[in-house]
Amino acid sequence: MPAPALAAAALIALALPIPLQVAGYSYFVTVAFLVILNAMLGVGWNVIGGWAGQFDFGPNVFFAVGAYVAALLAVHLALSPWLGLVAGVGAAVVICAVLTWPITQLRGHYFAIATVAIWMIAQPIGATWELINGSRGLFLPLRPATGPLDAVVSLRFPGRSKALAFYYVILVLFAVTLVLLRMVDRSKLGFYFRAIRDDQEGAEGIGIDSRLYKVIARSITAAVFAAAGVLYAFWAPSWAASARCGARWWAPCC
Amino acid sequence: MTLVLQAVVNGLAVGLAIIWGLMEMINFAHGELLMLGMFGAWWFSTTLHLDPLLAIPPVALVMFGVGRLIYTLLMRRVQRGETFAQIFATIGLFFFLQNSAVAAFTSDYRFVEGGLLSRLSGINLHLAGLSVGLPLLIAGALALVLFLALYLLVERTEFGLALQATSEDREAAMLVGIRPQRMFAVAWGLGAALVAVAGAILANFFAAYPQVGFPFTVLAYAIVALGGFGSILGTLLAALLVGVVQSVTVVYLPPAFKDAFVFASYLLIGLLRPQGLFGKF
Repeated sequence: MPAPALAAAALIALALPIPLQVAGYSYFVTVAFLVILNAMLGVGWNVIGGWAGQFDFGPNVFFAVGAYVAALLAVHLALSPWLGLVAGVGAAVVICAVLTWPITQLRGHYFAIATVAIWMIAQPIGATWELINGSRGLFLPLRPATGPLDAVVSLRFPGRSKALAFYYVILVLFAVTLVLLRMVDRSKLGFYFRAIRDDQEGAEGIGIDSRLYKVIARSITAAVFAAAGVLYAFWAPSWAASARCGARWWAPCC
Repeated sequence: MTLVLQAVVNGLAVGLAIIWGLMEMINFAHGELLMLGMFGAWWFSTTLHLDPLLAIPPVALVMFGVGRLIYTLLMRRVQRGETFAQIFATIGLFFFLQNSAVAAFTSDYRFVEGGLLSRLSGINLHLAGLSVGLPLLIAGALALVLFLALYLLVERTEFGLALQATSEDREAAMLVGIRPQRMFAVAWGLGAALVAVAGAILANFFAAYPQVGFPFTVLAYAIVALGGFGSILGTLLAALLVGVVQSVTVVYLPPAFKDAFVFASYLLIGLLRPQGLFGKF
C-alpha cells in the first residue's frame, strides 16, 4: 500500500467514529469495533492460510482460549485485562504448538479436517467444563472504574464512552498486529512460509523444516486470535443490563 | 441397538459425499443439499398428501438438475483456480442455500407426518435377541442400496471409469476423448441427487429446518477423510465406524461429546495412516 493511501486510511479510521459518537450513533461505533475485530482475525488467519498455505478451520479455538484465560484471571485473581492479554496469548501459543505439532504431518484436506477435529473436540469441552462454567459462560465481576486511568487499566468504561473507547483499543491492537505481521512478512520467517506453500518438497530440499514452520505459522495465527478474544471477552459484558448478577460473556465461534 | 442403527443411517447418508471426494473437491454445501432433500419430501407430503418415500424420484430428478446448475454456474468457474477458491465458493453456496431456505420455508421445524415409515414405527423385529425398529431397518436398507448403486456406477461402468480418469489426470482424459466439464457436471448432478434422496429418507426421522445441514457437512467431511478420498468402500466402512463410535460414546459420556469422539478417532487414525483407512494416495 502506498504511503499516502495508508495515511489516509489511518486518518479515516481515527476520525470516523468521533462524529458518529457526537451525533449519538454509538451503535455504529460498536459496529466499527466489530469490523476492526474481524479484520484483525482476518489478517491473523492470513498467516497460516495465506502465507503458509494451510487450510485452518479451527483458529476460533484459540479465540476462546485467550478469552477464557484472561476472564479466569480476572474472575479469580482480579488481574488486569492487559496482563490477561499477555497470559491469554501465551497460553494460546503454547496450546496451539502442542496441538498442531502432531497434525502437521497431514497435508491438504487431511490437515484441514484435523483442524476441524480439534475444534469439534474443544467445543463440548468448553460446553461442559465446570471450571469455565460450562455453557452458562463466565461472569466477569462488575465494578465501576475509579478514574480515567483505572478505566484504561481495567477496560471498564462508563456509559456510552464504552463503544468509542473499545474502538480505539482494538484499533491500537490492530495496528500493532499489522506492524508485527509486516515484520514477519519481511523476515526469513515469511519467506519460509511462502516457500512451504509454493513447494513443500522444494522447501524441505533447501533445509526448511516444514513441520516446524507450519507450527510457528499456526501459533502466530493463534496469538492474533487470542488477543482479539481477550478484548472481546472484556467488551462483551454489557454495563447497562443485568448489573446485579454480572454480565455474561461467551465465546461466539467456539 | 436402535441408537446404533440410527447413527449408521446418518453416517451412510452423509457418506454419499464420497462423490466429491472422488473429484478431490470439498463441498461445504453438502448438508444444505441434504436439507433441500428433506424439505422436498416434506413439501411433497404436505401439499400433495403422498407418502414421503414417493418423493424420492422427483426429488432426485430436481436435485440432479440443481447439482448440474451449481456446477455450470459456479464450480466450473472456480475449478481451475486454487483449492481455496473452491472451498470458499462452496461456503458461499452454503450460506446462499441456507438463507434461501429460510426465505422460502421460514426457520420453523417441519415434520413429515403420516408416511409409511412413521406408521410402521413401534413395530420391532426381533433378530437373534436384538430388537430393531422396522422403519430404521428400511431406511438403512435404502441407504445401503444407494451406496451400492454408487459403487457399481463408479467402479463398474464406463462413466465411472471416465470420471476417475478425469479426476486423476484431466489432460490425459481429454486426449482419450473424455469431456471433463461434462463429467464433472454429471457428477455434481449425481452427488446432489444422491444426498437429497438421503435427505428425503432422513426426513422421516428428523424435523426439517434450514440449519439442519451443517452438522451433517462436518460429519461428511470426517467420514470421507476417514475412509480415504476416492474410496467408496472405505467410506462405507468409515460411516459404519462413525455410527458405532457415536452411539457407544453417548452411553458413557454427555451427548455433547458424541461428535468429539468421532473426530478424536479421525485424529488417531489420521496420524497413524495419513491417507485414511483405504485412501490410495
